Amino acid sequence: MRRFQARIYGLAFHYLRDSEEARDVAQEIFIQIYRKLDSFRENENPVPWMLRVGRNLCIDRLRRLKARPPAVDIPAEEASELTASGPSPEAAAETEVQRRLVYRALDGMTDKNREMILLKEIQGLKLDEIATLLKEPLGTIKSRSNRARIELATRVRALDPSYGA
Amino acid sequence: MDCRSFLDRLEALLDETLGDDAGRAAEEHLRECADCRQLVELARTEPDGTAIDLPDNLTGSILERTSGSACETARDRLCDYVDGSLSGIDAELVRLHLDGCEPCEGLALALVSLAGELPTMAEIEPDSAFVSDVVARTVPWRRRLARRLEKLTAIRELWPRVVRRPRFALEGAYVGTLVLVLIFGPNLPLAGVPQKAIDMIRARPLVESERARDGIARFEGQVVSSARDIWEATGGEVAAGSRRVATDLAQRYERTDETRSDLGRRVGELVDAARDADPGAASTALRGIGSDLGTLWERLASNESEERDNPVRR
Repeated sequence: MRRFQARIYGLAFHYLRDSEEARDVAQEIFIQIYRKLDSFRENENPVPWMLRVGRNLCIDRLRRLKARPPAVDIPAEEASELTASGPSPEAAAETEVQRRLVYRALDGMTDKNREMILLKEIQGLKLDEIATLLKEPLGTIKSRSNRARIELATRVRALDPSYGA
Repeated sequence: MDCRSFLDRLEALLDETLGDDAGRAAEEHLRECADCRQLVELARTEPDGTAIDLPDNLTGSILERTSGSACETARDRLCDYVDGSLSGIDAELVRLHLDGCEPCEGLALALVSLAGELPTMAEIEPDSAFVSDVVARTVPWRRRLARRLEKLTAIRELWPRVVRRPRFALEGAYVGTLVLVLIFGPNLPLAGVPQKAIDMIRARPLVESERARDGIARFEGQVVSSARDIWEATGGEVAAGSRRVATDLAQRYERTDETRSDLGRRVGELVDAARDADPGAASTALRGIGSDLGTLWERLASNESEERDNPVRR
């Protein structure tokens, strides 16, 4: 669990964009994974399987949240306060501005395109795995992925014209 | 007529071989479209060796009208270009476009940066209590109960130490006063209850106490009467049963007189053998003791009186 906790929490956070909700759902994801361990095949890559379980729970929670009044939406600021597990603290500090920019750009995207970015670019799933997960043809997923990347790059450049230069 | 159709008929127009209807449509388009008009003027100019001033972005404008937007075409392939999965000629075309198109070049640079940035956002570390919270939600309720009981035990062990402190009496008095004020204090739901209770007792003390005494006396009478009824109904049988059991036990004891005497004698023989260090005699005495014990048990357990009363069963 310690090995995948940051990954699962990251997935939940990017879907829900609220740290408390993400924490709660991430716990549910692990409980669900624990209960469904029998259905996991040993020679299978665990990450797509876990992300599939996680995505379903996140979407369930999002549906429930949408029935409630809208929450306070300050994801970019909140996200910048979270600790990333990958790079060192110094490197994280250096990229914090860029990361905040990316979060703001992601916030402005459509749900479908943001999910494509989340699954493929952030979580690193392959196109065929995403096609299986979303039950869509591979060609549709590929073109949607390209559109999402272009949209994100355009939005980031609109926020900061010097980004990437 | 649109620009594409006009360009398809441009050569026929210049050669003056265009039909009447098509010619009229082309003339009408020329009146509306400045770009095509400029193109026709250029085409009709006799080349005389002098340099011709071409309008800005004429080639791009023509290509856009004939093949679509170069930027859109390039952006359709930009992700594959950045990923390095575009084939040779297509990659070269995109590269050439990027060399001359600043917005598309900026977009490509942003895509490269994002490709490095986004994967680092996959993992976000939750707080340190995350794992323990998940484990707490997965353990069975019995184990959770056991943990809570452990905590209760710890509190119970702590309690005597708390009570032994000198200031405990003062703290207790303070807390008690606070509780009383919170429960019966002014402007609270139970305010005035103590006073009402006192008033009630003062108003009818004798009547209430006599009524209570009568009630207790009635209850005592009912209890004594019920106990007597039960004894009368079952007491005779209980006494007779007790007598039967006592008689039976006495009879069984009498039946073992002879065996008990033999057993005592065998024990004496065993003691003598032990004193004389005679293993053979000790062994004989032990066998005799075992046999006597078996006989003793048989006589105690057998129901000879019943067998005498019911000889047919034998």
